[in-house]
Amino acid sequence: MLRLFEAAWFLARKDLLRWWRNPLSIVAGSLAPLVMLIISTVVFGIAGDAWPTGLVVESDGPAARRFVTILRESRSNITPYFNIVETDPGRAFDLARTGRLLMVIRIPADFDARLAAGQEPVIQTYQYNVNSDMSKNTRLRLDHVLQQFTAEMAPDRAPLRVEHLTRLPDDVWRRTFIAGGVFAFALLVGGMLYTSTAAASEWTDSTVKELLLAPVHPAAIVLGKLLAGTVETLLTAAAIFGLGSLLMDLRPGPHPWLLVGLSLLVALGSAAVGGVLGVWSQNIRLAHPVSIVLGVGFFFAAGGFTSVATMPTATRALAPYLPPSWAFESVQALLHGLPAPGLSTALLLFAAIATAGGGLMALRLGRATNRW
Amino acid sequence: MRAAIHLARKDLTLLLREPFYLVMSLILPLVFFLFFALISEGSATQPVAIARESAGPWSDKLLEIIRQPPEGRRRLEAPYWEVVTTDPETARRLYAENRAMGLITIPPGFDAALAAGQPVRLPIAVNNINSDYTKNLWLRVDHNALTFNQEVSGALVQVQEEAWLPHDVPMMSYMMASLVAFAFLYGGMVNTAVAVAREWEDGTVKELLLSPYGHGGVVGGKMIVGLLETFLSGAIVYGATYLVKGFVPAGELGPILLLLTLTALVGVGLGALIGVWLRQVMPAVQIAMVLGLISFILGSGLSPMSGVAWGGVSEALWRFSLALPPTYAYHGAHLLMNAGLSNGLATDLLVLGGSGGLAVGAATWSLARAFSRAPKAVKV
Repeated sequence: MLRLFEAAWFLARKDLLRWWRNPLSIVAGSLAPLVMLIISTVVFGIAGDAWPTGLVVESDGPAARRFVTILRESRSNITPYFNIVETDPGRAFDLARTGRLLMVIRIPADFDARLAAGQEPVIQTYQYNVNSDMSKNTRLRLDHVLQQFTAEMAPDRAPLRVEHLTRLPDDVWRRTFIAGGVFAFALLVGGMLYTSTAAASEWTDSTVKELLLAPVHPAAIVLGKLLAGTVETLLTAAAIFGLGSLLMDLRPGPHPWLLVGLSLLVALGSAAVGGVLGVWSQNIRLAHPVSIVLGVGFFFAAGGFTSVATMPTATRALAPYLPPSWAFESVQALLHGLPAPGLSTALLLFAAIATAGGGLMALRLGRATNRW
Repeated sequence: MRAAIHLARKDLTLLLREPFYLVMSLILPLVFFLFFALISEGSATQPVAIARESAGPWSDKLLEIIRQPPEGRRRLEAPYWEVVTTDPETARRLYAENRAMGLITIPPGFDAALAAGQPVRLPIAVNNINSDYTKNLWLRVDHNALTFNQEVSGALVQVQEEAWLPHDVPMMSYMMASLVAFAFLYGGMVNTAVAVAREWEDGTVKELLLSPYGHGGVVGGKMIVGLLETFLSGAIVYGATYLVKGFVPAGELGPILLLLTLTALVGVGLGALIGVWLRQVMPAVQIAMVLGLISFILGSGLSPMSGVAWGGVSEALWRFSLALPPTYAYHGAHLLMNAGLSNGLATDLLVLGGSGGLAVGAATWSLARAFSRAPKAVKV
């Protein structure tokens, strides 16, 4: 038994050395998470919820001024809803026609007069409507302001009032949530990619014969490959976590050791999947893109980019059958201090995947040995 | 020219024998397709659990408002909510287990209070581990409350909406147009990078060099095959958008094809440069992936960047994106395919044609230079 672990350790050391000496192999496993992290920072992390808007106010009455104040002060949990960047009518509408502004809101001169006369003033909006998602978001922001304004100015016309409650005292910014998803993605894709590459390269580099004819049990080869793949994956994921902490306020949450344990098993399970892919395909060109595509696909479809609970019906129904969704959901819950009812399932699932994957690898290696 | 055609035929035969390489140019667009399908549906329609603890006409009305699809100008938007349950116990359990992000409670006494003309509170609790969804859920409930109040008591203020286009462009159509343009740009990069790099990786560059054809024929052949394969992969991606999402471009076919050809040309030039620089297939594909992804995001492929980039890093990035040719590919694709408009199309075509010509010129020079030197086999 000791000899088996000794052999596994030597093999793992060999793979780790190869990995360390070849910058391309490190880049291969860290590039996809890195790109996702940076893009998420750029796209989702800069402006918060404040949308650039033009506001043209033609009335100087107290009601119009109050409407403007409510609009300017309206906010989500993290930032204001509007960023008023232009108030000049000519410039505001010109900017909206060329797509530089998504919406211009015009409060007419008779706003106060009509309200005082018991009539409905008419606010005008102009939208650059090339994407319904953005148009919807700007309209809903204005609805929020209208609801607030009605509740304040004419309480009898707003009998229904919304009470906003949250589970956590502070919102987790979207960029921080995505950074958590990217961390789990690094565990999944790193494990698959590094181990599939290490396994397949024994065939590509024609070193498999020496490996299989060495006086060690195939289990030692499997253990060595899995150990190296897991260590490489954990190092990459730790670097991604560090970057996420710097750029996107990612923190380990209230149970860091549970997070470490889960990360270890997810990395090990993914390494086993990668190992199976490597020994069955025996081809880096195949193993490499398959690992990336599986990782990216799971990131979007299994809870890396957004929680499973927010996804369409079919995806939600499928999620329990996708092991990565258990990993993504549990990692997010641990990171952000929510209860993690799926944690024990996730741990068991990835331990089972690692065992089954290791078994399949040993089987394939055993068959390959018999050919020589 | 004959040499170029023969070489292109050789590469096309290789492609047929090893379609794996074609798959590589399809992988990222198809992953994007999956992503777009998920986020456009997920972002538009939010699952919510409702704990209905009051029964009567007022809560019936509220539920009807929550369930009804948007009307008027908003009719092209998807329904705002998918109500997963109205049973109080199930709703609270789903929320506690993180299986519902939002929990709306119609409290006991809701109907009685409204019938008596008293105000009533409508609590919405959110699992706020993602600020974007917290905001989305809150705004939707505010909209429902406003609609309810207006239907019950009349509107205090009316809104008259005008817009640049007569109808909103659905988010999915926006993304499908982006995807088609991306397929031609990215396909051009990957197909050509693979066709060039594999000559070194497979150790066949020497035979290519020693063939009686001149370098011009070899370079031309690589460009032709890159372009043909790109049209093949682009057609497959468009086919997927049509079959699955029924996407039919609004504009005329001629200008759309011209825009896509010039986009592919930019991709082919860049792909040849990447291939000759790296001389290894997998790293070349990875670089193409990264470049494609970055240009897609910065070029407003995901959503229009110009309308939200004001001040700081976002505006600097948007201004930088104006120097990138893919920005013009996406701009032209959105206007042509979604609105049938040609505003600014001349600029888009000019930028793409110019940069495509430059990229192909630079690639031709670097390929000819690389082919004229002694080949060195690269071990993978």
